[in-house]
Amino acid sequence: MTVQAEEFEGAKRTLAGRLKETPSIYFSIAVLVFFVLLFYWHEPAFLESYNLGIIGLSAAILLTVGIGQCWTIVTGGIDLSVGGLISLVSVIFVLTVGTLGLWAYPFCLLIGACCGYINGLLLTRIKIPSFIATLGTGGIFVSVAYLITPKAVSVPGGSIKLLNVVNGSTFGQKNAILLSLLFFLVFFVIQYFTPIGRNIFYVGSNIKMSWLSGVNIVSTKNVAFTFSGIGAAAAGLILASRQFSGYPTIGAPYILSSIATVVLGGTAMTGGAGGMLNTLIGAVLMSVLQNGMTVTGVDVYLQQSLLGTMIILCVWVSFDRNKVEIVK
Amino acid sequence: MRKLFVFMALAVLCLTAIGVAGEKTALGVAIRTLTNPYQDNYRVGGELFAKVSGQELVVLTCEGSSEKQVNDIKSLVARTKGDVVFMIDPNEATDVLPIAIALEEAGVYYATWWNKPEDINAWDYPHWVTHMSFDGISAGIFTATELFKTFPTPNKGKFIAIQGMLSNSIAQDRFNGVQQALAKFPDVQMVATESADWDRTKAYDKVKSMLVANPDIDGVWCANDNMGLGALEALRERGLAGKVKVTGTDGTDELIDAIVKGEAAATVYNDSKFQAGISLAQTLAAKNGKLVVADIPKEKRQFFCSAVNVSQANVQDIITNYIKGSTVYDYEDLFGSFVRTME
Repeated sequence: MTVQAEEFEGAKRTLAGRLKETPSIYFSIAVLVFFVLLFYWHEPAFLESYNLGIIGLSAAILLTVGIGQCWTIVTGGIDLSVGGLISLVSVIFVLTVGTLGLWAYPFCLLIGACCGYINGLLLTRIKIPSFIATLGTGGIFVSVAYLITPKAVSVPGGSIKLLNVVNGSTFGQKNAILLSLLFFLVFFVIQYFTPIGRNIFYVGSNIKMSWLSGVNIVSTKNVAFTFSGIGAAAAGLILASRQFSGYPTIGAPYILSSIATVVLGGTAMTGGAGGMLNTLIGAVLMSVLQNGMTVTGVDVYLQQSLLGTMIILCVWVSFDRNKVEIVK
Repeated sequence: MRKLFVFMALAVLCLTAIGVAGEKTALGVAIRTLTNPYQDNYRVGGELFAKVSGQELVVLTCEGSSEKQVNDIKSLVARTKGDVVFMIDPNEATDVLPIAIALEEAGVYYATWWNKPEDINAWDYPHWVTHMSFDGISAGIFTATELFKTFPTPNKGKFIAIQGMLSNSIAQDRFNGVQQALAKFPDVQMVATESADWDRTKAYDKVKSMLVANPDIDGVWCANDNMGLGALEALRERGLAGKVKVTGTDGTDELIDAIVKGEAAATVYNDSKFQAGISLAQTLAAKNGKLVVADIPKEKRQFFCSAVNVSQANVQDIITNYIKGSTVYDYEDLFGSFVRTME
C-alpha cells in the first residue's frame, strides 16, 4: 500500500515537475498559437496570405531590433538607445544611398556597431549603468539625427531600385522577412555554437562565477552592446527602406516595443535566461497582437490598454521564474 | 496549468470587446492620435459622415509611428477584404509614398491631407482621389482685411506683421495674402515685419521690441494663433490690449476667446470635422462609381481649399455651430471648397 501511494505521489510530482521544467519558450509558443486561433476564429481573413505578409513585415523589424536588445537583456542590462539609433541610421541611410549605392547597407550596419560599442564602453569602462548610459546616448543619437536633418527626408527617386534588397521578393517571399530570418540565424548560431555567445549567457546568469572562471567580463559586455547596435541598425535599414524615408523620431516607438518583444518571448529581464528563439516567438507574437486587434476590429480607444494587458498576461504565463529567485 | 486556464479566460474576456465587421464599405480614418482636440475632431467628422452615409467608421491612430500607420491601413484592408475607403492625415509627409504603394496594390480609394513630397502627385496614382490642404493665401487676405476694419479709422492706419517660419510654404502663402490685402487698401501701411517661427514666446519678445519703435500702431497681424496670443501678451503689458487688435490662423479655443473679448480681430478655423467628412465623401463616391477619378480635372486632384473664417461678426455663430456643436456639412458638393490648385 505504502509503496503504491509513494509511486502515485512520485508520478504526480513528475507531472508537476515536468511542467515546471518546461522551458518558457513552450509557453510563449502556446500563447502565440492561442492568439492566432482566436483571431482566426473571429476573422478568417486573419490567416490570408495578404495579412500574413503584413504580420511578417512588422515582425521583421521587431525581430531585428529585438535580437539586438535580447543580447543586452541577457547580460542583465538594457539598451534604451535603440530608438535613437534606428532614427539616426534611417536618416544616414536615406541621405547616403544615393552616393554610396548598395554600400550604404554595410556602412549603416558599421555605424550601428560603433554606436553599440560606445554604449558598451560607457558601461564597462566608465561604469555607468546601462539604463542611464543608453538613455543618454539615445538622446545624443536623436539629436545628431536632428542636426543632420530636422525634417523627414525621402530616398532619391533614382535610388528606389536599390531598396529592392529589402523591398523586393525572392522565391515568392518578401526580402525583408528573409533578411530578418537570416539575421536571426546568424545570431542563433552565435548563441549556441560560439564561445562569445555562451559567455554572454554566463555573464548574465552569474557574473561573479564567470569572472572566477576566467571569462573576460568587459569584452563580453562590449560585444553584447555591439550586437544591440547592429540589431538597431538593421531595423533602421528595413524601416527606412519600407518607408522610403527617414526622420529623427522614426525609431522612438521601438525603444519600448523592442523590450516588450524580448520579454514576450520569455527572456528574463534579470539576465541569463532566454535567447534568440524566444525573441523570434516574441516578435511574431507582438505583431500578431498588433495586427490581430485591427483585423478583428478592436475599438481604437481600447487597443493600447488591451496590448498592455496582453503583455502583462503573456509575461505572467511565459516568464520562467525557475531561474530567477527575486523579481526586481 | 491553472495559470494557463486563467490566462486564456482573461484573454477571451478582453477580446469580447472586439467589434463585428459590418457588411458595408468601411470608412477608414488614419490619423496620429485622439489625445489632441484637433486630431480627435477627425473622428467626430468621420462619425458625422458615417451617420449620413450609413457606413461603419474605423479610426486608426498611429501614435507617431509611420510604420504602424502603414501597417494599420493594410490590416484594415485585410479585414474588410478591400471593401474600404480611407481619409489619411499622414504621420510625416514622406509617408505618403509607402501608403500610396500599399493602397494602389490593394485597389483601395484614398484621400490625403496637408503635406506631401513635391515630386509625388495624386494624378499619377489611379486610386488617390485627392490631396487637399487649407489655403494660406486666402487666410492671409481674410485676416488682414478684418484687421484693417478694426482700425480707429477703418482701413486707414499702421500695423506690424509677425510671420511664421520663413522656410515653410504655408508661412509664405499667408504673408502673400497680407500683401494682396495691402494692395487693395492704399491707406494702410505695414510699418515693420518679423518672423517668430510660429512660437508664442518669440512673438511676445518680437512684438515687445517692435512696440518700442512703433508705439502708435493700430493692429498686429500674426500668421498663426500661437503668435497672435504672444503678441496679445505684449500689447497687454503696454495697456494696448483691446485697443490694438491681433489676428491669428488655426482657430484655437484661446484665440477665439480673445475674439469674443474684443482683443483679437480674426482667425481662420481649420475644421478637421470637415476634412474627414469631405475626404470620405470623395473616396466613397469614387468607390461607388459616382465619381470617376480619371475624369476629375487634374487641378482638382490636389488643391488648396477654404477654411472657416472667424471674425467679430460671426464668432458666436462659429462657437455654437463648429466648436461646441457641428454644422450640417454638404457632402454632395465634393469640390465646393476648391480655391486654387497645388502645383
